[in-house]
Amino acid sequence: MTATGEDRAAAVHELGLDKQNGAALGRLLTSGSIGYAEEGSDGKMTATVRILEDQLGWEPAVLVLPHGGDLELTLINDDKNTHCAVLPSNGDNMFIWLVNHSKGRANINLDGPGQYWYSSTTGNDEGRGLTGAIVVRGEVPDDAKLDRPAQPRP
Amino acid sequence: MTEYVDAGEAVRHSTLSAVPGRAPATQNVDYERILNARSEPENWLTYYGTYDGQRYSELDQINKDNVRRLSPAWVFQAGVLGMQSGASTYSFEASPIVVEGIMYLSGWDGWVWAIDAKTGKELWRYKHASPYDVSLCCGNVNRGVAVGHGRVYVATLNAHVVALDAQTGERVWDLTVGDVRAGESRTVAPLLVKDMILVGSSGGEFGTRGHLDALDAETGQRRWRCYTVPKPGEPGSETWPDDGEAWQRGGANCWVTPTYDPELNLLYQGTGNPAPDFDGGVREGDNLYTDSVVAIDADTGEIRWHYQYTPHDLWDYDSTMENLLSTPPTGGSCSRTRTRTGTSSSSTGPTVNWFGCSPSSTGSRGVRSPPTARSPRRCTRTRKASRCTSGRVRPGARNGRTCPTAARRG
Repeated sequence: MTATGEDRAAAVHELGLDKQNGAALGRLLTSGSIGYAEEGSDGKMTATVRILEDQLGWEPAVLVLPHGGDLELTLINDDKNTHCAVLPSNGDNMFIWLVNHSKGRANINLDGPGQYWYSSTTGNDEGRGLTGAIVVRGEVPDDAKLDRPAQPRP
Repeated sequence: MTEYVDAGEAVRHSTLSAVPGRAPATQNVDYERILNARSEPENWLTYYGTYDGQRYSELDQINKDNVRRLSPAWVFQAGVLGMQSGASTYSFEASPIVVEGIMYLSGWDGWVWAIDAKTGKELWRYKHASPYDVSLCCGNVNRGVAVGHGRVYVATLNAHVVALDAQTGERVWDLTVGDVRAGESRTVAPLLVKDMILVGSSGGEFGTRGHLDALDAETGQRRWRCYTVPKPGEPGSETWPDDGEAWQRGGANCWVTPTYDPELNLLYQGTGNPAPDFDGGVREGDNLYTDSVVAIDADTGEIRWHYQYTPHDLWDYDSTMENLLSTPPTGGSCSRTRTRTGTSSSSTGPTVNWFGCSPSSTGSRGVRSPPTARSPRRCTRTRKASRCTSGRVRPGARNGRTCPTAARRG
C-alpha cells in the first residue's frame, strides 16, 4: 500500500468527497490521510488500515481502490482500547474484533464505482470517531451505460 | 517491534446472531405457476399477486365482520446499522413474496431477507454493499423481489440486478445494469415473465434515459432493452427538439413494476416524468414516451402502442403506476391506469387523478374519468407552435371516445 503526501484537500476534491453526499464523509475524513490499495498480478487488491493510539481514527482515513472487486484488508489496532470493524461487503457486512494491539484480516467484495463507509461499533466508538471511507474508482462496464453520446460529469 | 494478538479473519455479521442461514426448499415457482397464481391464494407469487395487477386475494378467513379484531402476530425488526446510502430517508416500500410459508422481502440499502411467514423468524439475509453516494431522489427504498427458478431476484440502489439462491441467500449472479455516475439507480421490484426477469430504470431526476430491461433468468444476460425515450429518427422522436440534446437526458423511467397480459404477450409499463421536471423550455414537444403507458412486446421489447397522459409534463406527474388489467362490464378487456397525483411546490399546485380504460390490445382510449387540474393556465408546446389554455385544464385530454360495446382482443 502506498500513502500519498499530496495535498489532502486537493485529493479529497479529486475523489469527489467534498460535494453533496460525498461531503458528509469528506468532513469526517479529511483529518486523516488518504491511502491507495495495491493490486497484485491476479487482480486482487490489498491494503492495511490502522487504529492509532488515542486518536479514534483510522489511518489512512480514506482508502482508495482502483476498481471494484475483492480486497484483502489487514486491520491493526495500535490503541490501548478494544475496537472492532464492521465493513461493507456484497453478501453481508463483515465483522472483526480488534482487541488491544491486535492484527487481523478481512476479505471483502465491493462494486465500483462508489464510496463506502465502515466503522467501529463498539463502546464509545460509534458516532465519535473511527469512521473510515473506502472509495472505489473505475467505471461500470460499457454495456451497462446508456445508449447516448458521452455526457458531462458533475 | 510490536507483537500483535492475532485477531483472525473477519466473519459475516449474521453469524453473530441466531440466523440459521437457510430456508426450506419450496416447490418451484415458474411462469406457469405464476399464470395460475390466483388458484393458490395462500401464496403471493409475484409483485401484484397475479400478472394483471389486481392485488386481489380470494382468502376469506379475514372478512368485514372480523377485521376489527386484527392484532399483530409477529414483528420483524430489520434494524439499522450506521449511515445509509443517499441523502434522504430510508423505509420499507416492498411487497413481500410468500411461497409456501417463506416470505421473501427486500428493504432499504441493499437488504434482502427470507423470513418464516408464520413466526417472523429470519431465515437468511443478504446485504448488497450500497455505496453512500448513489443518486437517490426520493428515498433509500426497494419495492420488492421476484422469486422463481429457485432464486430470488433483486435490483440494487447502485444499479445491479442480483440473483440469490432462494434457500441460502448466496449470490448466484450479479449484473451491472446501469451507470451510477450517470445518476442511475434501481428501486423497482423485478417481474418474472417466461424465462426472463424484467427490471425498469430509475433516475428520472438526474438526467437519465429511461428503459426497461429483460434479463435471462438463468444467466442474467440481457435479452433486450426498451428505451422509453426515442433516439432521433425513431418513432416518437419528432416530439423532442431537433437539436438532439434533450432526448439524451429525457427521463421516462420505469420505476414501478409492469403488468402483463399473457394472451396478448404484452407488458404494460408506466413511465415517469420528463427531465428536467419543471423546465419545459429545453424540451419542446410532447416528449414521448414520458408520462405514458407503453405496451411492450415481451419477446422483443418493441413498443406496440402507447398512451400519453401528460404531454410535455411541467409538473413531475410520473405516470408509472399500476396498469390494472380487467374485463369491463361490456366484455372484452381493457387496462385501467391510475396515476399518482402530481405534486408541486406551490400550495395551489395541481393534482391529477386518472382512471381510464384502454383496450389492452390497442391502447385506443375509451371511457375515462377526465382529470382536472386546478392550475389556472397550462401551455402545451409542439416544436412548431405553442398554445395556452386557461381555466380548468385536462392534461393529456384528447379524444372523447367511449368504450366500444364489444372491444376486440388481439
